[in-house]
Amino acid sequence: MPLPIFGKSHKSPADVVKNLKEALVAIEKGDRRSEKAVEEVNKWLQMVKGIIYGQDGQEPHSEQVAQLAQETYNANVLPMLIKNLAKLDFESKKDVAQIFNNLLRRQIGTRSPTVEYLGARPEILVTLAHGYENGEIAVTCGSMLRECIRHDHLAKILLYHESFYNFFSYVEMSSFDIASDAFATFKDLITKHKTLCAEFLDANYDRFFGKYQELLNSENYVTRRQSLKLLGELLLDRHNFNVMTKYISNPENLKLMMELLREKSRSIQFEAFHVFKVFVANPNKPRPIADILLRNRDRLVEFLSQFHNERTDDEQFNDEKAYLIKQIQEMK
Amino acid sequence: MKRLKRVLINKLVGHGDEFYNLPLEIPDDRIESNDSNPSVGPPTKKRKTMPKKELGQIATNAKRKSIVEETIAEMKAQSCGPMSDQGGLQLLNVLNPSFGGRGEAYDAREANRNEEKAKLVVKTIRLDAVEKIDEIAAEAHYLRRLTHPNIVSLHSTLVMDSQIYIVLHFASYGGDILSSSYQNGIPEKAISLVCKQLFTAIQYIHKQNILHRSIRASHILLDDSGTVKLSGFRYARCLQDNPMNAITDFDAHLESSLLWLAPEVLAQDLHGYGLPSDIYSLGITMCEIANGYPPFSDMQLLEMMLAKSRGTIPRLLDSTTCPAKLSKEQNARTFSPDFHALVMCCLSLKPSLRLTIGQCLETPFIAKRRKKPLPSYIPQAVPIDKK
Repeated sequence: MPLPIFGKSHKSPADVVKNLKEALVAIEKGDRRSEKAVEEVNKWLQMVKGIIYGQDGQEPHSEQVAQLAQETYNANVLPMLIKNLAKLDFESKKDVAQIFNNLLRRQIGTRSPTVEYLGARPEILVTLAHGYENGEIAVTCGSMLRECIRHDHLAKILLYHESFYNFFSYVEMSSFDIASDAFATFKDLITKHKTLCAEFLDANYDRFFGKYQELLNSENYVTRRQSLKLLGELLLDRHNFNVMTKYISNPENLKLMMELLREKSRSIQFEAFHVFKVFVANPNKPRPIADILLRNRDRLVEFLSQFHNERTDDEQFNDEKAYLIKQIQEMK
Repeated sequence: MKRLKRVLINKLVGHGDEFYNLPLEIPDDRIESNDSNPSVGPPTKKRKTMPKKELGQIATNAKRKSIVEETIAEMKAQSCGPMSDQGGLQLLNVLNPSFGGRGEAYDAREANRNEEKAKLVVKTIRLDAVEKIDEIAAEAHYLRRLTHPNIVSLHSTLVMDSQIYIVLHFASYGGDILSSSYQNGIPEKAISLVCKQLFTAIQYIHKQNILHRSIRASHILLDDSGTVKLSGFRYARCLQDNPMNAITDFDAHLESSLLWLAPEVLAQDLHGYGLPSDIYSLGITMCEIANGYPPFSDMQLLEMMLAKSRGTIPRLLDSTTCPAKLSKEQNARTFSPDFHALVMCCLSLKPSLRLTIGQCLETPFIAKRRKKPLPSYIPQAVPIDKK
């Protein structure tokens, strides 16, 4: 232990956590003292940051950090911080996220104690996800959620929890910045851990894509465009092979893509192309898919040969387009 | 930009055999919508259609304005979005094209409120012209996370049709507007006052390990009372937890700020760059507002990069520096040694030799007290809404 007289920190990690907890309890009660308690929380959070990051340019002491982390788990401060996040002041909210994310990254050998802690308390993750319902804490919760999702164990809990399906409404929120933050989290959830995500999508195909269809049909331009782009990425991921085959054998999906190809927005047309190509490139098209393509063969060839011809510098796109035209022409 | 997608064709052929095992679904036989010609006519929409407006097409400013106003009125009526609870917005004038010509900025105010605080700027961006929506999301994301008196504050953001509306609190003067009123640069005392506020804003973001990456005069706004507002967070990046960490990103959209970027950013090597690169941009920005134009702007880009990588340090133009090339006005003035010193210390080639933002704030040029408030030093400046 360093001699406390040389540092600003006169408090031991245990004291800091104890005081922080007391202030949080006062906030939870919501009595007259709560206003002052908010200031208190701010002060103690600064102390916590001082221990984690070191003060005045000094390196943090790893023993102190370890002690702090342990005290935090023992006193169950993390769930309290998250539960009362909306009541804290602006800078404190960010401090909470910074501390939370730092603790999550902390490793002892191959163990991540905070991940284990959260893994045993899934309700914390669920509370975080519900944070998107409150504009004031949405992006703060978002940053903590994405940090959690980096760990497959925590991502799995969220994916298989009922509240995952709330994301389908979060990404459509009218406030653009919150909606796009929610979308980033949603995307991480279904793409970060390939095998886990593929298993999830395969097992919950009907429910997931039923909901996903609503995103593709959204009134919100950004939702429509982002979800279409993500769909293209999902289908082209090798891990999602089963999901892709299911998706591209449903004629309803093909019809939707053909409609989106004719959208007014060129960016949406372009994203739709990247999904449409999967249907055409499939060497073993189910009958109904082949029927639709055959019936529209001449029109599709004509349409595609006029499609985004100005993209001359995108070689891959042009190759793919030429391949699609050839495929459709050769269909019998 | 090329899409980083693996070539799909090979992959599908590779998996060809597995396609035989697919359970075949017997489809509903009537597939009407596909019997129509796919290249003609609007797509049949299942979603509830919003009244579409030709915002993306060429229209006169007045017409555009009325369209946007109508749209916002409509949003209010449908009470969707953050506008509804604030009594709506009233758009006044078109200010200037924003976001590289892909949108407009409007002068606006909250309806039913008359005080200064109700003055807003509405930036609209046509999303179809933007390749990456994330870029725009980033700006809103940072603004949402930052509250500082010297950083522009976000009122709300929303999407209608293929336009995004970013609503910010109003600032009367843009940094480049100042230089159009002061062609040879603004007076030193004003610069010192601007910088003091600007530096506190940068100190605030650097403390959170956020790198602005696009500090330049056009991103420094001023409101009527002389409060500086830093904007342009589209290019900001958050460094990892450790302040020593550096990033190596060089995104294509940084190209618009090449003149202001530090040599280590331009080098695009594995050493990457960190907080000191913002300090370099600050140095260039100080030259820009003092001289009236950014240094290196008379050079070819390649020449500029070469000069920077060799450690050429741009100067403030006054009677003590290369008088031969200067205009009369520039020749007649002499900036204080403190100012010259600060600029030099920000523009060192080696990032580690540059001052930190905290040190910048303590330099005599910044710390010196000025008798009058900022607006009285720049009487010639014209607010953007009165031009």
